[in-house]
Amino acid sequence: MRCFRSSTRMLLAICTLASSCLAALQPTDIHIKVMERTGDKLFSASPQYPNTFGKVPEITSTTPLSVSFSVKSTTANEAVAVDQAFVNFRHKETGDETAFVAKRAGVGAYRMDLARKHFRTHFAPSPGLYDISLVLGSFADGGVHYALGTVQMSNGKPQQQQQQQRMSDTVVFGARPEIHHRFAEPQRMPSAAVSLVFAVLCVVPLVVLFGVWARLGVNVGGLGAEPVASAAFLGLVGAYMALAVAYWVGVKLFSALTYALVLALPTYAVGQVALSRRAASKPC
Amino acid sequence: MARESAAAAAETTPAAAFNTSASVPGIVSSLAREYTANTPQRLKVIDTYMVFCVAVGIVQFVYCGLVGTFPYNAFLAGFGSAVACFVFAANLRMKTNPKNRAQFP
Repeated sequence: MRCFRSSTRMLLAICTLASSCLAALQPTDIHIKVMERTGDKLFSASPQYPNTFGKVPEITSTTPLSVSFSVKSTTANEAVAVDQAFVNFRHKETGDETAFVAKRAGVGAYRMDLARKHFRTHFAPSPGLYDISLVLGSFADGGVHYALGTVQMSNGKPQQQQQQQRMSDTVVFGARPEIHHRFAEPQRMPSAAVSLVFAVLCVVPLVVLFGVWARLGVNVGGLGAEPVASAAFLGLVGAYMALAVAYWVGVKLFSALTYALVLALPTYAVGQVALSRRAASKPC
Repeated sequence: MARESAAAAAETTPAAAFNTSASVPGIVSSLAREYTANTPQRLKVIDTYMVFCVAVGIVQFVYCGLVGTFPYNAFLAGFGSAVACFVFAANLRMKTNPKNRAQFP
């Protein structure tokens, strides 16, 4: 439920009460105009108190509204200055009210021009039908609440979008909708056949490599010249391969790096011995 | 006279002995013959290993392009390993090439 607090309502209540007791003020020379920015008049009305103007003019940010009036004391039958003069706008659907001060434009004459920035601030977010009224108050002569008529505030957006915007602006106090956890959807993986095919394609070059090496005459006969060092060197190289597998399976990175550092020195030393003795044993 | 002797000398140079044609198959076949005849066995072993690295890298890249990058780390590890092995093999080939003995004694 929207909660809106307006000092205008209190003032309105005071003026209504006062008018019922005193009622010595009367608005006269009332002119309501809606004009283009060029100055062309789109709507003009001059209702006589207490009548309202019949038509519902449309007001946008480019067609400013102007309300001018004079205030007369019924007892003295002359123009009087009032202590408070407001032009009040009340939204027909939501009940929100916005009041603008009517500035003094002479003795007993007042004028309110709805500026573009005020339209954008107060009416563009909440377009629709507004009841426009004069709220006048005087400590000496009482107060008057005069309903002038109805105007249509439009911000140029379609009706459906305005309704959606209005609904989204509504504040609802209560329990929020329950959040249900959703697990992430698993990644789309290719079929097992495709993966197997490419695994085989990765192994085939290795088989071809060994075949070509065998044809070129690559063999392990030279390891017999230094069997111990060669076996130790190949064993330590195999240990590096096993360390890579262990890292893949579960060993943490820094643990694997530590083990690699521990294996590095003996691998280097044994490899140096094996390769240098192998090179020394080869004929020049 | 000098021109005729120069022309005769040009005909007896070693390049003329292969009698290569200008077509692409002819160039490829002469290249293969040259490579087989003049490349040491050690370099052929390394070259074969380098071709293996390239082939494995290409297969992994094609798989990644067809199926997707998930898991991306696996692709990076495999492709990076293939590239690294190729680079190391290329360096080893440069060092073991007899023609570079002056630079790598």
